[in-house]
Amino acid sequence: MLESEKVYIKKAKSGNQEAFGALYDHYLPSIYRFILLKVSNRAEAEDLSHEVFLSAWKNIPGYKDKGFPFSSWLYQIARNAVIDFYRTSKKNIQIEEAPEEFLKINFTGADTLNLDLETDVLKKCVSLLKPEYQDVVIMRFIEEMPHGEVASVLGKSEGAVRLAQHRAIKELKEIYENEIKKYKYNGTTTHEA
Amino acid sequence: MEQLLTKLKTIEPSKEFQKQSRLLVLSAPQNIVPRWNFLFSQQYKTVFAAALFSVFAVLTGISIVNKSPASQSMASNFDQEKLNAEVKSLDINIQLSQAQYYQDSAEKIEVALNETSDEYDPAGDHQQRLDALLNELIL
Repeated sequence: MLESEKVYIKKAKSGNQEAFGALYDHYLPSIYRFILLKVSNRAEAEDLSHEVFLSAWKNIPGYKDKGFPFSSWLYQIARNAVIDFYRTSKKNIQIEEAPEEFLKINFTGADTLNLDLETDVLKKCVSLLKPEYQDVVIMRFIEEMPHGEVASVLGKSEGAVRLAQHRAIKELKEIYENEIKKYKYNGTTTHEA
Repeated sequence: MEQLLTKLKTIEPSKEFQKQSRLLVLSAPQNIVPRWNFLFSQQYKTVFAAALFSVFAVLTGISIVNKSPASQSMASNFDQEKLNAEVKSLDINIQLSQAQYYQDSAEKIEVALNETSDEYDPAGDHQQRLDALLNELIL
């Protein structure tokens, strides 16, 4: 959480650009990561991140502090942006229905982020999880958010978040092990749902 | 697995995108919050609720007072029949004052006429007949 966040929010609500700029600088990397891991494309992640902060800036005069960090609000906007993105672009195809070629993970793709092989595989494995599990994994293990905050973003109880977290990690491990095995075997990996 | 996931924290947006997007975001106009929205803000919520409660209490109080015996006697002042009777008596009063006016004017006219004809007789037939007519009208 950003130090003196409440002061920045108060100023940003009254149109102070500098204050919102500070919030932007602090939260952009985590919101960008969250979106990138869900859409797996740098250009789309940039567009959506921009939309999220544009929407936040426009609507911050009506922002109400409900006792959770400002990031919870941003994650909610980001989640909705990703949902809208898949809805409008109709990219939310079922894994079972997707052609095999579509699911091939290419480690030398154009959107590579200079990550090591292991991390790159993991990034792509996260994108193969179902959206709810992605949210939990990203917020809990990458952004290290507490259960309560994740629950507020997802509109669920803390217990439901813990359960989803357990299942998500289990599923992620299975996907990851399969992908690594396949990579060692032929150099590319294919997710089998 | 959990430790491996933390490695993904190294993913960051490019500086160029960050700079451009920041500039565009901050140059956009903000949405205006409607003025009445302040009523629902945390700060004014209590005041608004208290004001609503006060209005409710006042209205409830008025309805209770209206049901009390004192208010019923007050309400009887607005009884339709009584009002009609009052209006009727008012009409009689008006007729009496008119009769008084006619009497005064008739006396004056008679005096004037008598003066003119030099046959003024206060106890004459005309006067007596006029008195009788006026008495009829009054009573």
